[in-house]
Amino acid sequence: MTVQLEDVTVHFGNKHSGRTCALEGFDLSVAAGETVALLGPSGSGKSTALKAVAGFVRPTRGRIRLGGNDVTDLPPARRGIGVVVQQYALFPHLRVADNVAFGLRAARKPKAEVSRRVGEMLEMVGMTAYGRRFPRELSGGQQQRVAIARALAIQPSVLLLDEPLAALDAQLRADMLGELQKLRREVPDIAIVYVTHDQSEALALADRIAVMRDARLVDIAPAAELYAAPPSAFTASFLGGANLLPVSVDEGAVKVAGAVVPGLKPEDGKSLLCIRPHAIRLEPPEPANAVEDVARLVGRVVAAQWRGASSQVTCLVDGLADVVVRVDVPADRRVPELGAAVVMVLPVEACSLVPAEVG
Amino acid sequence: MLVWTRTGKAVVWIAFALVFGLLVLLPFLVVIAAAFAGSWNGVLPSDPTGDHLRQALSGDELASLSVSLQTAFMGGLLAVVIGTWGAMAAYGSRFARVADAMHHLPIAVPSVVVGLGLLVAFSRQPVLLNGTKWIVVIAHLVLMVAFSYGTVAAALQRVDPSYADVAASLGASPARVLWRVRLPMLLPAISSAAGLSVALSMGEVGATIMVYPASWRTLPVSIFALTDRGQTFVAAAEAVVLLATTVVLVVILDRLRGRAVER
Amino acid sequence: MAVEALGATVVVSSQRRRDGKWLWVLPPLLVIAVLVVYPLVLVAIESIPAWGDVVGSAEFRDALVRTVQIAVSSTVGCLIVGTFLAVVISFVPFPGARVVAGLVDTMLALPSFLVALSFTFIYGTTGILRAGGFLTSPWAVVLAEVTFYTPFVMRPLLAAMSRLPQAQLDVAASLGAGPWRVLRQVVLPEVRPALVAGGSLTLLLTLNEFGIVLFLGAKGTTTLPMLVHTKGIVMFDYPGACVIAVVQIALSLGLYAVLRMALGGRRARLD
Repeated sequence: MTVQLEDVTVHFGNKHSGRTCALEGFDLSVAAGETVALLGPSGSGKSTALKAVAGFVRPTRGRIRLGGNDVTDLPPARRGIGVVVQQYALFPHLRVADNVAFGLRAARKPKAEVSRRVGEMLEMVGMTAYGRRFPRELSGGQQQRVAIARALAIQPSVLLLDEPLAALDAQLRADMLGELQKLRREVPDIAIVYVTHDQSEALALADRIAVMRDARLVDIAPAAELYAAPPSAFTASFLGGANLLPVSVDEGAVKVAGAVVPGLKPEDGKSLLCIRPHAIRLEPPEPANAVEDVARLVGRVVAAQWRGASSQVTCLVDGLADVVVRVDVPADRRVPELGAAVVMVLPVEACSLVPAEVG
Repeated sequence: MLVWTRTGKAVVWIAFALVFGLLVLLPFLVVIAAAFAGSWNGVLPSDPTGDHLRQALSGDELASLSVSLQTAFMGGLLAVVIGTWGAMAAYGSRFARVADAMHHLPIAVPSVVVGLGLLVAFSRQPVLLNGTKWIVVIAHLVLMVAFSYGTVAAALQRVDPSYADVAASLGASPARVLWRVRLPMLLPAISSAAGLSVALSMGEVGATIMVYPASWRTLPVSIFALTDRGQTFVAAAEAVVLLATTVVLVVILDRLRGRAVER
Repeated sequence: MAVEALGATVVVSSQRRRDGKWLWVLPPLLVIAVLVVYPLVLVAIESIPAWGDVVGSAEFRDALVRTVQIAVSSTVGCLIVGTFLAVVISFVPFPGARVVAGLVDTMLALPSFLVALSFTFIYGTTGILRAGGFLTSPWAVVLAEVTFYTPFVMRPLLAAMSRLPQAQLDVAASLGAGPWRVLRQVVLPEVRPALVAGGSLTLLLTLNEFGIVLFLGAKGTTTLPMLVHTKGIVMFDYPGACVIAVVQIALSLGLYAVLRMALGGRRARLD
């Protein structure tokens, strides 16, 4: 079933305490079988958008449609949407099986059907052996699986996931990400809205990513497209932590700190060069001899963090005050010393231009 | 959110307003209204007057106010000291359970029984207190110790003991840790115990009515005497005096607490 | 306050025991021993000669039954009203809900006889409703106690409900549960410890309640605490008053001990 949000706006508070706008003019359409990630920093409105779809908050303006039907005024109990929240919100006094059965019993399904469906769901998330346990006897990852089983038990046509992995530690998060990908294949017809602040989750799971900021939608596009050619500076830095360097245009050529970026055409209104940290190569400051499609920036190293598989080196560019360039240096390459002069090599195929931030 | 529809919410709120207003709030409002009414023969009070209040603030009635204030301050504040001391000393000691049980005894037992006990115990040798104001003060002290102890003990559960440990590790003596770390951190609880003690002491009637001598009549005892004589309007006025005094005292103690927290 | 006083658990951490520190606990305990325990022991001793007379009397048995009757009815009333009010304040919030919650806190510190006093104006012979007969019936006492003790049920409930994650209610609703089902199957089971704590405290306090009964002064409504007062102060029958006091203590403390044990066990299981 398609989920549609049209011009949805949500305000909190009242006239006396001052209103805050949590979501402004938000449009989104998620097709059956599609996964859309709402990605943004905290306070960007992504959770509010999800709560509006679930019916937990009432929009001050705009409509929400499920499969074409306007559900804006329906209470959550009558929307039939599966919801999984960050802290799982399992009912602590109910056993795992009763948690999963909660929605089925609310719908007054026959006993036999309830127990059959609970069995199926627990099997799907690999928790069959835990039906008699209480939530507090489960680990975070197990609770997460139960929460998903509970949401899917009511056979929703839409599943909303609100930061489902945020409460897990790093290793478990990676495992659960795999589980979620597998789960996606088991329920191919459901529309999934996945709220997260973590770009790696969004990239791994989503067909399309909606980047949000300050209660508004910034960009929405298929994940690969958004990563390869970010339409805005915010998306570029939030999704993949791109470097953004101010460019100048001189005689039809794009220049960064005086160095020409060969082969890059200037575009109107786009004054920042975007390049990913892993695309930059560091070289010793020797005169360039090879003829490559590269831009070469001279600068020096100001910080280096070892991260195991790679090191992140922070450099300053000569002639560009206040701009730092982050470079990922693979573990098999030598990391230059602090203060060392370096040349940053920018392959032009990894460069794109984005508009500067407004305001 | 539990109720999602607008009509549902409206129905629930109307029910709430009725139940809360009529059952919980109304009785207190009625007393206040009666204090200023010359008569009350219909739904609303009539003949507004300040006479009852004037009467409640003169002669014997005024003396009762003074008696209540003195009792509340002597009994209530001493109770805060003892209760705080007890709670802090008992916290983590091997006598914790005994201390806990003993301090809760006066609230688990009806106040009339506490009064009767004092009457029986101090009408004989070695200590003769019956007929003096001290037996009233002691009754209040005993009851308020229990509340103070409970308030401070509950706060102790919430205070992180590592602060005291850190202070000690920095070389502070036990006395200094007590004075500069543990007591200041409990100050909000101690001052709310003080407010509670004074307020409850001002309204105490069960133990007081068992032990009070004619020379030491507290406000509630006077109010009861007035209702017993059928002077309900003056009784209501005096109850308002009691309420107002209590509120002023509690607000003052609350201010002190606010200042303590800022510091 | 009273709720915390009775609910406070004592954590004994072995690390923090220091030799000699326990001596500090003795002075306050000595005060309690002299001013509470010693008098109660004397009450017990004093009561010995009068047991036969008092326990056999119809007056005593009526008062005992009436006391329990009023306390149980009031507690049930408080639980129903208090739960309703707390649920609305917590989960169907309206502008000003916090003010109401603050008001509830304040009421805990007010004297109970104010309610009884107001009843003379509301239900008295010349009052608003002119329900003269009601004022002298035990139901007036019950209604007054419900008014006064409802905040004692609300306080622990409000605290427990504020700790209940909103997400649980939201998720329950998204699973198709209506308000009534969410209340019965999610909210009430999860705040049950607070409900038990508030209810048992209220039962204890209503068993011990004196001010309301005294001020309503209904002839037919004699409770045990009232009888202690009548015998001790009006009739100067100390031994008789002492017998009733002992019975009352046994009733209160017995109940108190049972509740503490039950609550302690519950708490241990929840942790």
